[in-house]
Amino acid sequence: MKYRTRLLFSEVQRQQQINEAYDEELAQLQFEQNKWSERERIEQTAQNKLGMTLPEPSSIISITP
Amino acid sequence: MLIIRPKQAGQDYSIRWRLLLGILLSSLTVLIGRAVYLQALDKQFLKHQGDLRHVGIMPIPAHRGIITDRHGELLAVSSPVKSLWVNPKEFLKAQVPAEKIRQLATQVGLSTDEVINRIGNDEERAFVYLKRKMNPEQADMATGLGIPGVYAEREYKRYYPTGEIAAHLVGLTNIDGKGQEGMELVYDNSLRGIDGARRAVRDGKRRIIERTEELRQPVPGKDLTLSIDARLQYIAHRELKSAVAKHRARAGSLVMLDSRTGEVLAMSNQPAFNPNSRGKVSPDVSRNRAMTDLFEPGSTMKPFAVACALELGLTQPGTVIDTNGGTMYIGRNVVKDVHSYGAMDVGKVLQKSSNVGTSKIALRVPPRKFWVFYHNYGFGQPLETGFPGEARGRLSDYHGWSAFEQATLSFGYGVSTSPLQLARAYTVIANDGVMPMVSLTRLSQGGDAHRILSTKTASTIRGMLEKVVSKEGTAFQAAVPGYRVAGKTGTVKKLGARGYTNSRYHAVFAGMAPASNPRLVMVVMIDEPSAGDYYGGVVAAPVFSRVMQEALRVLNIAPDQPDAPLIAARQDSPA
Repeated sequence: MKYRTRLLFSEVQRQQQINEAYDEELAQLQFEQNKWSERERIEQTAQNKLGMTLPEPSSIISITP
Repeated sequence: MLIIRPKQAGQDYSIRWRLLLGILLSSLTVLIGRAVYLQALDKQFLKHQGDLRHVGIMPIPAHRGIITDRHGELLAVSSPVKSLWVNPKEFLKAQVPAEKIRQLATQVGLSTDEVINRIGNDEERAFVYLKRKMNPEQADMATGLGIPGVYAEREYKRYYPTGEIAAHLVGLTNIDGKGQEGMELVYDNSLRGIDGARRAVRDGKRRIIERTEELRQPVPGKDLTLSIDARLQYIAHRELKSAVAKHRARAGSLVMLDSRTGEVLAMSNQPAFNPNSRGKVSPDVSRNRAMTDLFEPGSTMKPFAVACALELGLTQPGTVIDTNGGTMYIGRNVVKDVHSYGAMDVGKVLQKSSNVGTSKIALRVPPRKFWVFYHNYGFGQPLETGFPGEARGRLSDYHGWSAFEQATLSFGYGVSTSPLQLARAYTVIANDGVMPMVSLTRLSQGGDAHRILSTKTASTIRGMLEKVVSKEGTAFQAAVPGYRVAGKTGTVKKLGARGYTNSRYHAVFAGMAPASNPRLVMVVMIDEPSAGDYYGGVVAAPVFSRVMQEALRVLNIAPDQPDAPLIAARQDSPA
């Protein structure tokens, strides 16, 4: 009985550690995602690298239903 | 005569001997008895004492709730990190070689001397933080060096993905994860959660050798959804920052409200700070000025004064007011206009922002009624957001008012307000006379709202404010192509040590769009622009225009300007 308890307990511990490792990885990935999705970066890339600009009001056609 | 006889050998000592034996035997009995008692009868005592020395209860930190914007974008998140700590008692006893200390120092990013200093040489101490909140992998490598007495502990670190963009509103936690400022402080109780507890067995060196059971599972904190939209917040931050830099201003604030629900969609301040760097932040920088700082609203107050008179039927929109060449005497005091205009109707008074005209209109309203209107617009009234340091502004009691005071109130002096309070008051004009309660968190349904003005008065004023944003008005630069915009400028003299100064100003613009059915209300306030320009229409209005233009596009709000961009567009050759 005691032996089984110990076995199960160590299994719980192991799983918890795996869980913690996943948590850490998730946080790292969130950082990365955030870094890449920073608005300032996207704006800069769109303007400088891709040469994108906002359309002039005169070139917008609004369609009324 | 006393005869002394020497003691003779072989005398009988048996009494002494028996006494000694008796003492020894009885102490033995007591000892055996105690041992039997402890081992057989009162087992709990020894077990308890043993546990006290070897079983400890360790906290399991609870995960702090995340803070997101209204669409779930992360504004504050807790990520797992490790803190490295040292038990100096073990460390010093082990005589760690210098080479190992050097390796440890590189891992934690400190110099060898700093590490030695931090650990100290007090052999009685059992706990010293070496480095808090470090990258978990680095911490594992540091403990992996196998130096006795070096341990890692799991903690959470607060991270603010948007950096300084929403820093004033979101706020900060301290190193122990407790809310210090902003929404982190307001909602600290629900964000925090409850730490769990775990029982652990330690050996003689106080190392944890077995984690026996979880006494209490940690309860994670609740997540918090703010009312702001991260996209609009970014635009507001970017434009305000560039305007404050361009006009070399001391500070600036921008508030954008959803005019129907009263939710704050963007709230930005300059100067700003980065909440991720743990340096000392001075209150001058960390203050959420849009809520904590007061200023006199100046001309942005005029629409409210005019609205009182219209609502009470004391003036009609067509009433012609003679502005007397821009000068008006009230008792011994003078009200002056920047330019002289002569006679004009009420709309024109607002369009040209005439102090004399506004005063004449306002003085038709009895002081008590005038005060009630201002009070109902929320001046001098708390916002009830619970935000730390929230200012309620000041509106003096009408009993002490002279005619001149009432006149100055009508053009926004003698009353103080925060930018958010001013924006709230403008929702009355935007929302057909109904003022919603301001909210910093996302509302799932409409909150409380109160009717302040009739629909008719509110839409009349809105029509007049549209004329302000025109070539003839003071705020042409607030215009947004394709949309109708209504608003009012303010150029407010700051109160110096000796009365109002002629050199330091607040440049203000308050407005709404699209004017046909306003969705957004925005207030821009620039404090002490000092690069030459200081008029609200030149300094603050362009910021409004740029932020509003992008906000309307991001929120997909249809243009309401009847001008036909269609024809112009057709002439464009396809690229």
